[in-house]
Amino acid sequence: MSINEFIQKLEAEFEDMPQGTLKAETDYRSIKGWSSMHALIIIAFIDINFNITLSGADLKSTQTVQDLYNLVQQKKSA
Amino acid sequence: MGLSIDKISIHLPELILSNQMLAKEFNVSEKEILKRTGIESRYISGKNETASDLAYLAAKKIFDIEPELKSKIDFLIFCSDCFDYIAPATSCILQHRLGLPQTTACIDLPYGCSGYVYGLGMANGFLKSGMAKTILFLTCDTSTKTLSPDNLEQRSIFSDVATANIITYLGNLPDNEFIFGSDGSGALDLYIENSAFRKPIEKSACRNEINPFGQMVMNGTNVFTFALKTVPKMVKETLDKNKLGMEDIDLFIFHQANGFMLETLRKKLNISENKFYTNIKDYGNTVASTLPLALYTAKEEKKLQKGMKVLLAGFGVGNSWGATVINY
Repeated sequence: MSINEFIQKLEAEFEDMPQGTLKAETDYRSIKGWSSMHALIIIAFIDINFNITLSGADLKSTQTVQDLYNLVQQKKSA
Repeated sequence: MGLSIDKISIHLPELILSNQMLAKEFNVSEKEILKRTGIESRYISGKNETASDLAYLAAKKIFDIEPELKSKIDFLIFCSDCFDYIAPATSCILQHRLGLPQTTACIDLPYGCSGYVYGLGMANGFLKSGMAKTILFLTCDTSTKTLSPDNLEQRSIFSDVATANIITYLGNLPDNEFIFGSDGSGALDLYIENSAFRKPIEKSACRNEINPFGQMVMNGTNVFTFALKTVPKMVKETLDKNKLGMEDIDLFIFHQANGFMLETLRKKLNISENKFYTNIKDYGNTVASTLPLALYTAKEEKKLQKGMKVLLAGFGVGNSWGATVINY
């Protein structure tokens, strides 16, 4: 999955998020209305699409959408 | 020979906490609470109402209809995290209160979300060995008494409901195979702080007038990832041990933790919506009671019928898990 597809699919998981909100360099915790629920949505999205279960610590180590994508690639190849 | 859940009754406390009430108190939208939890209403035990009071009322409903059943009970299991006392066992108090024979063996099972499956496992052992013939298995938690009033996340999830189950063993049913497990490294991801001997009460900041029984602490992210890692593996192992495939199961009933978690697990396991029963919207997370409550409401809704194979999966506080397949 390319970074662009990753972004599109992740955006679709966040209901009420206008298309084009997320960019690779977006600090995802700074998006409007960010809550702990969004963290669970990200974990669920990555789990279902990549069969990788991120821990809370994994998530904490990332800041941008690109970081998330890179982490998934890294875990996939591990 | 296999387990037969002959009867289930439930008791619901009078007070219902709706999303409308929570939304007003916390100044958030009802839609947001529903989106986060998948829950619309939950039940709250009265100030002086204990888990054993609610469990008593659930059991009484069975015995009011069939009083002669009392004399047949030879084992009483009370599964809860909210006992009347540290000692004696609350099940002993319930034996007397329900008027059960003095020959009844009484044990408390201090377990939460996975407790129903652990209780069924114990019942299976007692019945299979001939140690018991008719078991009264009660479940109830009053976890809402341990929630901080200003914690919306917890107050929008947890709920107090009691169930009573009559369990026997029938010759024409296949054996039930169980999977159990624990990972105590995550025990403090969900626990009641200052609830017993580990931390002296006088040094406790949270065992106060509002939460005199201790206060729930929950790391939602860790509990969520624990479930994602554990449940799919447990389901596969349970099917393998029972020599069944996913297609052989008529109904999957998982611990009703929260709506988002259930939907994520359903998608991950690729279970169709019509085979995946949930009732969390109307009852919330009732801890040890979610599975028997779901069996009860699924039967009421005619989604559970005689002869069905049901996979029951409990997981949570501990971290512990347990699953089995019952032939309803």
